[in-house]
Amino acid sequence: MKYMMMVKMDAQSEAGRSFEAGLPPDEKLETAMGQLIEKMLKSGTLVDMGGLLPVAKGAQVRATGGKLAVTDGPFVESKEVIGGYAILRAKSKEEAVELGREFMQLHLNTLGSSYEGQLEIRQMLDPEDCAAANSSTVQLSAR
Amino acid sequence: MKYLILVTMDRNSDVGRKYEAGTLSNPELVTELGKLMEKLKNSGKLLDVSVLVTRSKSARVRGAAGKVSVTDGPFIESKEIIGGYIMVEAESQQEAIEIGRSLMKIHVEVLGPSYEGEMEVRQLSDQPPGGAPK
Repeated sequence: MKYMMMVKMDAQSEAGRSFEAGLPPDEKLETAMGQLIEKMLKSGTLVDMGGLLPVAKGAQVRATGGKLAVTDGPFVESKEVIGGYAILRAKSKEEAVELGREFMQLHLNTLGSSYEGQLEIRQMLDPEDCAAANSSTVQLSAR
Repeated sequence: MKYLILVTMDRNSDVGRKYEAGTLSNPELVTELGKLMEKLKNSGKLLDVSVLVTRSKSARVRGAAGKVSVTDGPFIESKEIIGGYIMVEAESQQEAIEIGRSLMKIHVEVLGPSYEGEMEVRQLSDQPPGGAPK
């Protein structure tokens, strides 16, 4: 099964503020992450990953009352910031959570106990295991 | 440039409730979205698309005060639900927003004016985290 892991920060935390300011990631973290990514790619548990630019540089498209509205960042109201994502391949949610734990532990080890962050791990609707998942959910046949 | 467009819903909206209950099944929406994806794919703009499974099957991993903790879904305290995403190749943010608009327009046309939703359009960094090989 595939899982999408979103890396979130509180906009007011140190990590969130430095992310929004567009500062490069901590060097120690980057080295440790490089090693973890290498290991996960080799074992086939990491399918894809990417970092996002600050939310302030993004945009929102909103539908309400039958109309569309586009707003450019920054968005003062957003409390949570998504900084990046990873797509994981795991046999179960438990395995995906273990991968997330390792990822998070590495952040704590390199950035220290002042670090605060959160991962949201969501199962993806994979046509291969569609029958096993929620078959009533909307399915896109794009690929 | 690569853009990630996250499709989000309000948990308390009609569409959000149906999504969480796993009953958001609309053949017309699937057909119309399929057509748009086909078009984007043929023009080389579609890099990836996926629908996420209801949050009751998800988990959160939190790091704070030096400790890691895990919580299983559903997360009733959070208002916003991410239902899926598309990743596109676009020449500018404007083009990525236009793609987001056409995707949103289909939702409004098929589901009617009661539909409420939001998309977050975010540019991807061209530097992979951790200097990973791409």
